[in-house]
Amino acid sequence: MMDKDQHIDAQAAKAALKDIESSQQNLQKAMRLPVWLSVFSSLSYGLIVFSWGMTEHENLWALGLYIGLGLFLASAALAMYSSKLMGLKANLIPKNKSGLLFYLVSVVAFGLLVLGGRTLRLEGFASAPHIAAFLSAALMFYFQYWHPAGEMQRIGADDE
Amino acid sequence: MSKLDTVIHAPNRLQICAALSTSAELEFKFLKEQLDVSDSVLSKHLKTLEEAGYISINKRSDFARPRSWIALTSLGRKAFAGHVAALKDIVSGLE
Repeated sequence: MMDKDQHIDAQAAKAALKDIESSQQNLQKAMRLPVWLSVFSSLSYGLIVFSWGMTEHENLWALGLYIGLGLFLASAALAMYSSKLMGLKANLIPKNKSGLLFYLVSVVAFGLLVLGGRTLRLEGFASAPHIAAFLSAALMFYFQYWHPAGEMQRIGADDE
Repeated sequence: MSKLDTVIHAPNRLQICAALSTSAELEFKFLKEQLDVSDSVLSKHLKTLEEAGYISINKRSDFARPRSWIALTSLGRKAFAGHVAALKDIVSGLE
């Protein structure tokens, strides 16, 4: 309960925090993309990483890079369009600490996979682009499915 | 130490701010369905938050129909973060 001096007891504070959590979880669930769109988007991202890892002057993998990029951008545009129809717009730029941390983790993880796949292949590890593409696609799907709002807190984390 | 914000603390307004803090903008109808309240109740709470400078309401015509998009202002984000910090302080026994 809140008294005249705007103090509440620990139980009421706990209940309020739970309400906040519940509201944010419901919103994250509403933001989650359809599975087919997440799979499509993740595979097209995997194609970008793989093609980048395999591209040389004497092969045509650069074409795969452009096709993957086109498909990935198309899936992102479709996701934004369907969200707008529903009446919600996700944060594209992080606006709190959790979002900023998630953004940094994503940039580092995807950056390492993109650069690692190509660099290791040039060093002689021929399967590196395959592994990097698989891990990138899996990570992209994981992030889209469990962190659709682009924040560290994942859906359902409180239920476990 | 952060202080509780009486404008935000009302249950519906707390949920409105929580939902808006996780997104860039939410449409009036979507927010109404999320909170499961009537148009008038939601409008009343939004007006209170708007008067406090915590939210902005933009009326735009999307897909040939007028829609109201609601977003937390930077002041609103700061106030909500402070309110959550105050609640956490209480729970952890600091107050």
